[in-house]
Parts: sequence; C-alpha cells; structure tokens
Amino acid sequence: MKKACGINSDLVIDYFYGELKDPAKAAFVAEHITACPECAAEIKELENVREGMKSIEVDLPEDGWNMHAQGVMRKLRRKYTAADRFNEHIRPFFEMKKIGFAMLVLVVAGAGIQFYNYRNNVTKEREIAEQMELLDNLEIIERIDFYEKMINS
Amino acid sequence: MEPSLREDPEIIQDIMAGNQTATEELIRKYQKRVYNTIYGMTLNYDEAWDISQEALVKVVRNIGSFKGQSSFWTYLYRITVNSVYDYKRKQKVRSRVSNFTDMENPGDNRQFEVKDLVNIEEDYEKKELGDRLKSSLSHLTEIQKQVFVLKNIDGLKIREISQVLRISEGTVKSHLNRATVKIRDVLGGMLK
Repeated sequence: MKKACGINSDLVIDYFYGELKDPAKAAFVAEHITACPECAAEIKELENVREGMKSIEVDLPEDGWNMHAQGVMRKLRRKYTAADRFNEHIRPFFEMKKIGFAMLVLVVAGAGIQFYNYRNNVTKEREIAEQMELLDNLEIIERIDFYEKMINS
Repeated sequence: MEPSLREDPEIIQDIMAGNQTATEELIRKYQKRVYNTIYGMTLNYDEAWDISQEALVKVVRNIGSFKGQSSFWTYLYRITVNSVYDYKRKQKVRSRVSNFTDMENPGDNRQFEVKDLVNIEEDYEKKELGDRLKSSLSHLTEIQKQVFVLKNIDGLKIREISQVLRISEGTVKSHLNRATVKIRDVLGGMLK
C-alpha cells in the first residue's frame, strides 16, 4: 500500500525488521526516513511496539525457573518410566500381532479353499443336473422311437 | 545451575548418550525462551508454564530424531509452536467431554498459580503498554500471532520463521506486515 509520501508501507516494515536484502533498497528507505516525518514516526512506533513486546516477556525469579526445570525433569522421568513399562508390554503385543497375522492368513487361506471347493461342488452339481436332464430327454426320445416303430410296423 | 555456555551439538550428543545432567543443561538453556514464546501466543501464565514443560519434554524425548539437517533452533521452535496447537486442540476436546470424563489436564499437578511467581512490572507506563499490547495481540489470527511473536520476542529471521512454520518466506512476510499494521492501528496514539 502506497503511503502519502509515495513509499510502499511494506517497505518501511521490511526495513524496520532488517529484511530488505537489497542494500540499495535499504539505503533508499533509510534516506527517505530521514527526510519523511511520517515514516520516521512509523519507525518510532514500530520501535515502541518492539520494546512493548519485550516488556511482556515474563521474568520469573530463579526459584521459579528452578521449579519449572524440575517439573520438566520429573515429567521426563515419569514418561521414561511409563515408556519402559509400556515397552515391556508392547513386545508381547508385537508377538501376538505376528500370531494374529498368521491366523489371519490361515483364515483367509481356509476361506479361499472353502470357496474353491464350493465352486467345484456347484460345477459338479450343475454337471449332474445336466446329465439327469439328458437322461430324461433320452428316455423321451427312446419312447418316441418306440412309438414310431409301433406305428410304422 | 548456571546457564550453559556449551554448544548445542555437544549437549545433544551427551543427552543421546543418556547423560541426565546434559538434559537438565539443555532445559535450563532454553526454558525461558520457550516459556516466553508460548506466553506471547497464549498470554496466560499457567498455560505457558504447562505447555512449555510439555514442549521441553518433547524436545528431549525426540532428540534422537534431530539429525542436524536444520538448526537446533528450528527444531526447538517447531516443537514449541506445535505444542501450543496440541494443547488448544486437547482443550477443545476436554471442554466437550468434561462432563463425562476426567481427562487429565497437564496443569493438574501444578499446585500453584504461576502469576504468583511473576515479577510485577513496577514501571506503570511500561506495564500499561504491555497490557495494551497483550490486548492487541488478541486481534491477530493464530498464524499472525505466531509470526509476530517469533519475530518480535524471539528475534527470528523471516527465513527461520518460514522453516519453523513450514510456510513460504513470502507468506511469513505478508503475515508479519499485516500483524504489525494491526498492532500499530490498535495501539494508536499510545505509541506516540
């Protein structure tokens, strides 16, 4: 956004934060600030913001930081102990997982074999039914032949 | 324990070798920085205490995964920022199920209020500016607040912030500029 003085306001902020990588640009802005009261005031405001941010930083007494550090160490010790305990149970769980996986493979293989047998049985039954139908048809054909012979004789 | 003057890689090596003294050394070296970064984002003494402890625990527990490809700062700050996210997410869940369960709050073991330990600002003007700044930070979006705090409290460069937050440098700049303008506008004449 261009300011009334013609300079881009982002440029002033970048300059303030030391993020202008181009030395020529940085020099241009620095020179502009010396001549522009509005931009100089903006830099001053930004400096106050930075000082203000430093003022909200928390300063605990040494005992406070000691308590904080001890709290972290306590949590680390507790967590490591819990992790160790968990590891004692996790190893058998992984072993169980292997057994479980093996059982799963067996179940899937078993289901596969069952399905194969079922399809085989279905095919066989269909073949038997077709043959029965053929036999039925044969009987009809033979009877027709017999009757034709009777008629013709 | 005096603040450590040893370089981070040396301390990290000792921690990975199981040296508990080195662990405490690292904690004391960065506890204040981690605490203040989180305080800048939450503006709550107690939450900052609890979250910063959790963050430091994660930093130490996962030290083995720090391979030195980025700076230790990036690793530390990434865990710090993520810890704030995690805490807020858990708070949302906790508030939804609080009537039905006894979900553990990291602050349950803290038997005091942190504000009782804090040194009270005796300079009235400085305190008032600080209070107004805290209030103005609440006008920022989460990402703007993170960028603004990492820049103005931790003094990180744009490149470092982009590595911590895993966003482009251009996006960091954009958030920083918008946050700065918002803060400046909200504070108004108080800064003159």
